Amino acid sequence: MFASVYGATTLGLMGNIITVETDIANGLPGFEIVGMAATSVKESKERVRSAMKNSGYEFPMRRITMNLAPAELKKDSTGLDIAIAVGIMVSSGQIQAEKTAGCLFIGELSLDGHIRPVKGLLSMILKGASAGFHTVFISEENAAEALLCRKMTVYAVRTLRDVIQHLNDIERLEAAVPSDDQQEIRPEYTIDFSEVQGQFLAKRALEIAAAGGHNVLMIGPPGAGKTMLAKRLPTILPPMNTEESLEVTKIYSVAGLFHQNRMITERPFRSPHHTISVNGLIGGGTIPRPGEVTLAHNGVLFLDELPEFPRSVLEVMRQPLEDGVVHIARVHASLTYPAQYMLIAAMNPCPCGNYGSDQLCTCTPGEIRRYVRKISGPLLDRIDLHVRVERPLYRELVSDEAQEGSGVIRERVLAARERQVERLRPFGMFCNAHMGHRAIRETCCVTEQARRLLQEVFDKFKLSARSYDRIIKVSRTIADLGESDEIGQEHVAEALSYRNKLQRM
Amino acid sequence: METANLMEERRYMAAWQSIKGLGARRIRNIISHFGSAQKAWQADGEAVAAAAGLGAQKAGHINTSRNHFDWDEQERLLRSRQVHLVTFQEKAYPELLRQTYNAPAVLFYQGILPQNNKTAALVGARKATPYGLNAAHTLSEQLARQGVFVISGGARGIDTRAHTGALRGGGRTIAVVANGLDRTYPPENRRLFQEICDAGGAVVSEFSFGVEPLARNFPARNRIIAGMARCVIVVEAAARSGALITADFALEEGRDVFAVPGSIFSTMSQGTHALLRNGAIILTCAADVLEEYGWQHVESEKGKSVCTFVCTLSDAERKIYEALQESQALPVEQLVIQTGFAASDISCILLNLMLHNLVEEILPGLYVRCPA
Repeated sequence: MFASVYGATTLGLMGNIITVETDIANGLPGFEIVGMAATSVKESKERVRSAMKNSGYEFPMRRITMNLAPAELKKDSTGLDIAIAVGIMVSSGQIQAEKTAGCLFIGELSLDGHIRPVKGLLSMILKGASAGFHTVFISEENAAEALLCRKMTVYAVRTLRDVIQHLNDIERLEAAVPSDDQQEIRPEYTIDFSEVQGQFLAKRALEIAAAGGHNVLMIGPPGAGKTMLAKRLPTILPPMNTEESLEVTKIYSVAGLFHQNRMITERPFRSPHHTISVNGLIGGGTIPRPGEVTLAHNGVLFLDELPEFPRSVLEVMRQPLEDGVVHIARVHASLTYPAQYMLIAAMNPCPCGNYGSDQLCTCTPGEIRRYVRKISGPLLDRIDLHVRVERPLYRELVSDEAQEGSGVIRERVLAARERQVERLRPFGMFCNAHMGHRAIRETCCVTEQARRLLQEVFDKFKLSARSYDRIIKVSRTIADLGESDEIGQEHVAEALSYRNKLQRM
Repeated sequence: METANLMEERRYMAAWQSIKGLGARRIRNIISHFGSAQKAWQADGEAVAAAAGLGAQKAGHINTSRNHFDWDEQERLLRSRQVHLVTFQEKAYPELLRQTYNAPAVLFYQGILPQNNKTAALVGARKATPYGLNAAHTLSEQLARQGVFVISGGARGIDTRAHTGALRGGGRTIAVVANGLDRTYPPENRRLFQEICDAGGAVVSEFSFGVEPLARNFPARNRIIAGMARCVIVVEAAARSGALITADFALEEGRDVFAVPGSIFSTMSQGTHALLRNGAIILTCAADVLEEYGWQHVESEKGKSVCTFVCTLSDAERKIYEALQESQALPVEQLVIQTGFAASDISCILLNLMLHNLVEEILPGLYVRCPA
């Protein structure tokens, strides 16, 4: 007898509904799965056989043929286990076919019939809801994630037996309901800028960066607090809207990093170690999985010890920095992941870290140059703000003077962002950092005074034409923070203090 | 006709300079033996070797080098790099350098050579402290303002500061480099060298085209720096620094050595302190040099205008200016703590002060006050 039930897998961030077609015919007992199943799916035969037996059901001793449609799509998810088991049950007449109509089965089976959670559930459920399914069966551990989509009845089940009893109307399950704290959508950060004593210049630079979406390079001796500052950057960024939250949650779900019972509302902060590979950073694998740039989507990617990263790794980051997405092509799939992030990089001024500080630097000028040269010009071109971070004084460390909290800074950032969104709407952008040459020319109006100052500074410091656009962009953000429509002298002057100084080292 | 001959002679001299294994002294001996560089070039290899005091086996080397010399390439580089030549026999050759024990046979240079002997060499460490960098810059500026030609090595650190200081003082300066003039070392000073030439100074080298800035070239270069100057001023030098080699050359030629004192705790001043102990003249301001040689003290307009400008500073600017120091570089962070101003305001004020040459960003993000 023939039956078809529905399961789901993911490809990239997209969910895919899989039709599990089962046919049981007379012949030598056997179990064949066709339709581009990866090893993990092929192995589900053994899990399903044992799980059914151990749940007290009969595994038909006939010839079972199973097709996973669409057949051209590579399936790589153990989440098809329940769908396969239910398919066999329906096909062998142990469940009535019409009971499974409009139902989606997503979960992995253990040999004793328990149901295990899967990665990427949110994408699958969102896809299922849009495809017209009204009910989904998932593992208890996946319940919170499944409930993020409010359009389906969710049954969080413990064992295969529960599913079958429910479908056979022997023992009906209760639909899962979202708990109260799942309604909460405000971001909750456990850290705050008020904990950072001193670091006035760096804090100001990060505020400007947050307001304009600029990338930042922090240069300072070890122990100056570069990491501490960077970690707090997400707390002053504007809160994510529902769409952004959902996107981030989907990414984390697909990557198997979603472990909370509510939507991710905090902007991600990723700080990969400098031994990371190219694939680890931009994503990879036979079916590419998201890399760090995607995990930092809508948030902050922090690269500590920037010159220690292999050159190849830093170079691949240029394209996502430019486009906000990353394309990965592999044998089995070519995928595009979102990667709209702020890059915060940190480095020591020299290999020993003391150059320019009050402690003795033991590096030769050649060593310092080699160290600084490890960062390529094209990457530096994408970094608008350069700021020196100093070791805090003892006086500052022990001071209990109240520092400005993240909330206050965030208000200013939000106001500045609103001005930018308004101004850049015709260009389809939302922050100053994304402005191209044309947008700069048309939207950045510089006062006569500021123009004169720029002229003077360019003559004196011999700045390159390339740095001009960067300085204007940063000045524009500073003017936005100062609620000014025009770029004035003071805005330009401040922006100039954050210009690239690495070449001078 | 004569100028054409002179041009030929210079080119032959440059060609001799390119032959490996021949130093300035040997080249001068060969030239004086044969009467001119051209005649020597056409002479028999063994005769040349003999004149240079070399064995017969070197004659072969000289012959092959002469046969393989690429005249077209030399001509092309001289033109494209706008390099001029001057031989030790010419009047235009720097007089002070000619008097030295081992004067270069030929000098390659871009720009204009000094016409008088009002020259001072200012040398020091590459990896200098903010104090040394500021001192070099300030002293050089003062000297340049008094019409003194500042000579230095074009290297990073003190050398670069000596040149930029002289340029700011509106004076002329010479960079003596340790490589052929077809390449630029250190590369980041390309623009500085251009400015030196534009301001009526020169970039000078003894080395022919194609010579890399090898470590062994530097002492040879230092002898030219010392040779061209009336005195050598050592700003900051560690115990075993190349600047001390320059000072040694100066002493051998009977030129004066000035040393700028530093902190007794700084390793970067150990060399200068050793010089002072051995009798170098202590230098605390440019007037020390002027008085030593009876050079006229010119009342500078620019110095006055800086003073008056300091008087016109706003309260906030004055506060920042006074919080800064000459001998220690401070980050913005420190200024925030000291003055209580916001970091953004301080950045603006610092830029303004820098535009008026009252403040210098001596290392990235670190500021010093320039003495008014």
